[in-house]
Amino acid sequence: MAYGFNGSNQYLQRTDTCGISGTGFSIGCWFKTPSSNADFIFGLCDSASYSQFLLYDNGNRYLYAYEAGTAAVASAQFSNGTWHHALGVSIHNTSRAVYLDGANKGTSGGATSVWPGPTLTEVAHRTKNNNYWAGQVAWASIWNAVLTDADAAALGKGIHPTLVKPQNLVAFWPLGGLDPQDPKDRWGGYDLTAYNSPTEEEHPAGLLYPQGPQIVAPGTAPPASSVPWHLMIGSAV
Amino acid sequence: MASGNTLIVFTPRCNEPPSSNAATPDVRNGHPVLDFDDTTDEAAVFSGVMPRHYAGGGVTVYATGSWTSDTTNTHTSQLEVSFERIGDAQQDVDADGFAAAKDLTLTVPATSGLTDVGSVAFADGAEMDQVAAGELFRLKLALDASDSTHTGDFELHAVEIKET
Repeated sequence: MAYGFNGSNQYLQRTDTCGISGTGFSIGCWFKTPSSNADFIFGLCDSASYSQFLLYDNGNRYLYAYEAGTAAVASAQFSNGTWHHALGVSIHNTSRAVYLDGANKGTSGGATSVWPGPTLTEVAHRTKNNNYWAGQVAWASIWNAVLTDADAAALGKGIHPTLVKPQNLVAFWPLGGLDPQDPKDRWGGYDLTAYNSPTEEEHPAGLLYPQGPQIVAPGTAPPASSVPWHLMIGSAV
Repeated sequence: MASGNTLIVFTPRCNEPPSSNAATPDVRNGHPVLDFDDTTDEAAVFSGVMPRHYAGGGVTVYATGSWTSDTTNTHTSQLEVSFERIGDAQQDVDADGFAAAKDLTLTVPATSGLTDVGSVAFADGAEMDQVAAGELFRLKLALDASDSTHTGDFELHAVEIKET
């Protein structure tokens, strides 16, 4: 299951930025919307200012990485009703990038002054101006590093965020799937709070979870498959 | 445990990438792989517990790989394979303690998409960093770009540890 948001009052939030306090970070998630709608999907926000870094659906099926009044725009449109991967990279105060489905990279320059600024982590909502986005979100993640083109490609192919620069992974909210249907951070403990009962929605298909080694018992062939390692040890990864 | 039987298998989804120069996860036609660059030394690390049925006969490590685009069948890729015993108070996990690496060579097939399987044997004892049955260990595979001649990425599909 993923989380679904109605575009009018449902969202996820926590009142800090998960330890991110400067440029050189990346945010990503899977998203699907029945109809492109001009609002913010996921990011680091502020209640009073536009000093924010967010993944933004522009309403015309273009994905933006919005940063304090400027934005990188993906080079291709996404499709309504289909799961896509979004990745935004805040490289430094004069450079940012966005990827749609691990490619379709867009970049932008221009000086900004995001930090100090963001004070919130939000999904499907931006407190400033009280915007709400309608659609579904899964596997939201934050890294305290600038992910590369290769990292973006891996994520766009459905590879689990904990397999991509795990040393720099700060927060990972599965929001369902093989993990429990709740807004807990399964990596860094930065749990989100759900407001106004976001709905359970079908998780993206074909995602590649981490896997434990296959121990082969004497006289047997290796198993055809094995349980993902994070499930072997419970839900906490 | 009879010699020649598989002990443990690692796939790309078992990787615990090092903090720098890590092989990059990728997918090729639905197959998870780890991409190793042709110009930079990149590595993958796998953790496991040596099965209790390991009888101390030494192990052979097998790697299955393919290449993104190279079809020159005289080209090779050289992986440096090493063990780190963690065991019971044997290794400070704040530091790395891999034993000396041994070379595992794979040869590029003439057809892109075909795989090759290479292997290297480790004697029980120092070559395996003294890993014993029931002990936690790590296995590192680092591609030596300067000793490899392939072009494009080498793609690691699986690693098997077999009792020699």
